[in-house]
Amino acid sequence: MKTKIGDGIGDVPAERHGPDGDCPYFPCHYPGQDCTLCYCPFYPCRDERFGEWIESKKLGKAWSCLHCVLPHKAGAVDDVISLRDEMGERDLFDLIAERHGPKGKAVMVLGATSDAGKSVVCAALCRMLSRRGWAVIPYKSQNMSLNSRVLRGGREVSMIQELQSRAAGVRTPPHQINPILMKPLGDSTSAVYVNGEPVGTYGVTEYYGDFVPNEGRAALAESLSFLKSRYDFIVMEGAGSPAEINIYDVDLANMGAANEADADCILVVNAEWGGSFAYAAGTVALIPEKDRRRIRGVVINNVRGSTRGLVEGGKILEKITGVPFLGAIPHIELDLPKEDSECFRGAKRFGRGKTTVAVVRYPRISNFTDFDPLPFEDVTVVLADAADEISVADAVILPGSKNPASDLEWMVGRGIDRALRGMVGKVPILGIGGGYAMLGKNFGAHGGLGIVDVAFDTDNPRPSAKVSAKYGELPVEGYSVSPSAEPHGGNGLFSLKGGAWEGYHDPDWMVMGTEINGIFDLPGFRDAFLRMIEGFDSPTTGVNHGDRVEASLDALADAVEGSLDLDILNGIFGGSVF
Amino acid sequence: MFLGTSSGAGKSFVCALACRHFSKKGMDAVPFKASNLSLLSHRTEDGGEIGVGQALQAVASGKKPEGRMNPILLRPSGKGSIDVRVLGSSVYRISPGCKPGAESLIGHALESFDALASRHDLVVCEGSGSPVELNLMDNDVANLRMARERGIPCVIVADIERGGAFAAVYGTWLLTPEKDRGLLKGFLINRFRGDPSILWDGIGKIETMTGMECLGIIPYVDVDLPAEDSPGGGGAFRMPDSGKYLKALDAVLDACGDSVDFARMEGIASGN
Repeated sequence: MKTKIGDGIGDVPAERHGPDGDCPYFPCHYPGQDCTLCYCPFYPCRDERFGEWIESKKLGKAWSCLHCVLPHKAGAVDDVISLRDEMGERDLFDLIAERHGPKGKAVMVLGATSDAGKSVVCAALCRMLSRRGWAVIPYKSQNMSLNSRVLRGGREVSMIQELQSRAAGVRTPPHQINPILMKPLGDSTSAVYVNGEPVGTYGVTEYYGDFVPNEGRAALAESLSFLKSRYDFIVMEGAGSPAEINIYDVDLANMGAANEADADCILVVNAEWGGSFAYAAGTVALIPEKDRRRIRGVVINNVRGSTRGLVEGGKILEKITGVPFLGAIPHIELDLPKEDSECFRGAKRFGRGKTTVAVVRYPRISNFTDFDPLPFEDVTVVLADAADEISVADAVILPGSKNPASDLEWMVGRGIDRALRGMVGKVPILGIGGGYAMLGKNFGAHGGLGIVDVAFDTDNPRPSAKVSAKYGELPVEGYSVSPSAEPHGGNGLFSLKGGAWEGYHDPDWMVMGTEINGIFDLPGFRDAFLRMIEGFDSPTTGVNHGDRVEASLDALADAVEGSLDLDILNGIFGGSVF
Repeated sequence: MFLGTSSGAGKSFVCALACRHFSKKGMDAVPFKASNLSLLSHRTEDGGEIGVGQALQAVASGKKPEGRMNPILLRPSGKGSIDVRVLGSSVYRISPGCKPGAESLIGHALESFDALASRHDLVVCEGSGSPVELNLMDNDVANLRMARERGIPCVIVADIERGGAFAAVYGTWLLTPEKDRGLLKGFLINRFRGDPSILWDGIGKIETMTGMECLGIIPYVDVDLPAEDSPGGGGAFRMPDSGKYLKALDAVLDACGDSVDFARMEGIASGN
């Protein structure tokens, strides 16, 4: 391996050998990557279009090209192999960058309403592109969500963009995929995160009046320019409807972002409630003419039964609006995490198993995708908001909360605190994140439930982080959001690297708490938790939930690919992409 | 006639509110919906079989439910075929994939409507689904066809909860054939949460673009109203306690206060 620039290109294999599926790190960037040049022969290129200088603990000042995929493109590999002896390193690098550098093409998926299906269509497009070997990344400028994920480096972004990154095959996405994250706190205020870090609490007026025109616009521009300089395609997601003409000029999340990124747009309409053509035609017509030209296709989503009638209607719509009709996507059942609105308007019971796990559904519940893996076992998850629903459950989970103080008060008001105290020692009780704090002894006006002997300093949380831990010998992978538990004298639930304990576990009383989210994704702790339930003797699936998500992303991409007109789609993406 | 921008926009609820408002004012109002596609129905004393929405609207208007309030019931009868029932009797069955012919149905609808219109001051009509389903419009009896046949003035109802309400209203107007647009007099925004003043700018634009008037913004009110559709189940519908139901409607009417212009609605209904 060469160590400094000017050494010339190091050893390069005589021919290209494609992806290396046997490598334990594969795919380190994206599934269609070529692995011939495992290390970049141009490192460190010092070209700021492709990387940046960072301060590294181990190395001091170091050149980071974490999000550059140039040496993994098949065409680039071919050119390196065939031209390495003909030109100098710098010239060759410039040629490769010119020929194979990121296309930086942005396409935005807009919805005629909330719940139109924007995020799944984005996920499908990411997967369709990545399995063709393109370097693709998702993006949403501003996401209001109660479900977040912590990335490497402790930055927090919306859950759904992290999921779309998985669809794009990007395992360690940059935080730029979601520069503005808003977590609603109630009373029209939100905790606002910029570039994955908390910047404060805003009401609606200050948000649109102060934040959006200043920090908001800046964050949008920086993140888009970063992604465009590193990826071939940026699949952007809008928010709500882009045709809210009363707030059009301050709306950063839709056409504001599309203009910044110079994106072509696809409009998605949910067929479920009918009126799809009116919503589509009205949305196109109400977008001011200067921006309307960006809308290059209409998709009707979530069609139950035959799609034939809607395709007929879509062709008529195409004549009326002049916007090409891309196709109708059938309703598909997917094992993918649901967004907030879907969860709140949807069912309250998940799964049909014989064991009932009650998840306390407080008004400010957060990170409720933690429980997605449970209904695949012999379990029914009930989102419970009444004491009598909770007291009959075989196990109770207090999930995360965006406002533990008000949620605790809500529980007390409904007698849920009394129900829980009556269940201690009879069924497993697990608190996660804010739910763990509520189980503690010093929290909120009511002083916490006092079910676990742990104090919390929620005013001074530690940074969010990705976490690898163990339950006994079994691996647990997750992330913690602003943990604040103080050391306690009892047993921990998980062991961290280096031997420290995390969480709380009183096996005699079956009471547990943790500040790690995602603990049910791997089978180890999931099975152990279920086995704590008296009488739970069903076989378990043993499946890593991430594998189900992967399979669902493939099925989604297949269904969407089969429903859309790829010629029109190629036009929107700027060439023979699909 | 109240037309929806989608299913579930709140047409039948708005009709019930109007029935309640006008009957409280001492007017003789009755509900009407030409045809209804549902598994759930209500048997009337005169042998009819009407949609749950109309049965509730009858209660709201202080009337006994009768078959003419919803003369045509399209009942899914399994495997994609549909049983067509007129005034409580099965007339014929539509095979899977076929559409109910407008010409065979419109006569039944008009007959019932005319009978109600001749005996009452005000017929509060409800449309069905969206009136501008481009692939179905030619065979649609319950919306613009009915309005056109009898010159019924129409008000579009849009649900703002999921967003896109302006687009929904404007798109519905835009896709309505030009010859019928004159029937579209106004629109209502339903299920709004928050400070309505943020909508005025957008409402003004839609009024200017379409010539329709905004007749009001109905606030989201958390009241216990009976479910009117049963996507899964079917069969007979049990009427709720009418006292409780009327109380719930009154609570919403109170919450609407001045934000819904029923007087203008009355004016539109009488052709002013």
